[in-house]
Amino acid sequence: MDHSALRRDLIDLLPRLRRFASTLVASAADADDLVQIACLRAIERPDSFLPGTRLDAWVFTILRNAWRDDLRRRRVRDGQGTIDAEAASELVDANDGAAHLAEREVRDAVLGLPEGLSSVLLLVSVEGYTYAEAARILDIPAGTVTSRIARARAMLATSLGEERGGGAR
Amino acid sequence: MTGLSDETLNAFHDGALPPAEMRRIAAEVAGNADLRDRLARLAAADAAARDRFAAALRDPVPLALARAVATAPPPRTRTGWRQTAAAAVLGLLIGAGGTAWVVTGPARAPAAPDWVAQVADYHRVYAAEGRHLVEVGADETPHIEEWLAGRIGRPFRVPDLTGDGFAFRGARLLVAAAAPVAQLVYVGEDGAIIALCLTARPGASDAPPRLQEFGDLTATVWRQAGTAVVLVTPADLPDRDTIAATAQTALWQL
Repeated sequence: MDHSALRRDLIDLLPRLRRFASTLVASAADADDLVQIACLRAIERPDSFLPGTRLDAWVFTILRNAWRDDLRRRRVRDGQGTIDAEAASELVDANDGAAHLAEREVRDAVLGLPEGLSSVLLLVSVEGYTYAEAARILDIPAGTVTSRIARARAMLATSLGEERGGGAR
Repeated sequence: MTGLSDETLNAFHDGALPPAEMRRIAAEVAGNADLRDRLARLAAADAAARDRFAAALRDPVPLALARAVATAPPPRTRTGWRQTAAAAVLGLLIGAGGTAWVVTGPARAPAAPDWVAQVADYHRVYAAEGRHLVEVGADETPHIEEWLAGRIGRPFRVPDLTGDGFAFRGARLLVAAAAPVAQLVYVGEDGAIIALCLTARPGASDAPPRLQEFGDLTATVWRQAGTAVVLVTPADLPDRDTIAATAQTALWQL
């Protein structure tokens, strides 16, 4: 891939990459760090892009992987021992079970939804990815995309109802 | 009350079920007000998510981040320190220019050649949708114009093609070749579905319509007013050129 064309495409993608990152981490500074790491990795490994596929999906996937790697590093650094990549994604996937939620209530800055839900809603409802594409980007099973998008919309619809003062239906 | 789970209904809402099941549920929805209510709630959640995510997109990109990407060295395997140093110098020059580089930097590459093919693929997928043909219906045309003009970064008007036998049904936002694309969908009297798709090409010169064939679909592609436009029609549609001509005059009658 042409190096300067790739850089231009990445710069065009920056607003959308920052938005995606903001569904994964809590602070704007962390999101920007993540975006920068992802872009530099994309530039470093242009051959991992499959011609004919969506460039944005490729960079989103790199960003998601960078986030997972960073999460793993933090957990090691924080003395929680080593965990492998699979476990790292399970830790986050654990918000599909209630126990994890109670212990660590992380909500994203844009929609105020529990971790993991906002990313799915962004990719499917806003970015227009299919369930299968979203599953590949987030490295989760397609069934998890289905359950998360249902939960995300339900929670959002409920909060909309509360904002209007009417409460949920 | 029906036995449809929230997950199934969400998948239906997203067009993510096999065609037979899509049709079966569409029929069920048609005769069931409760299901329509539940679908309306999903659509309301989507609308809220889109609003808030659209706002997130307007947040200015920090210059340091853009600069880091603009000046990132190429892969090590193909370069040496010389090039890295050159990139660093470029970084300094850009730094001296302040933020203006975003505007004055090299023009974006004229279109990834495959965006038209992607738009044609989308057309094939969405034309089969029926109920979910569009994201925002024609009854919200002023909103469509404002929303999609904002997303693609070019103002435009939704052309009236009723004179050519096509009624505007609504619009979708697509992404092709990493760029937002506005898709305006029209339905003919015989049910034929055509779409006008617009994406920004800042600084690109105008180019007259040319044809690209994609099997059962034909794309008429032209550039006008810093925008690349594709008219996607069934391959056998006779009035293609007339419709393209109508669209060319109507799109920018702001």
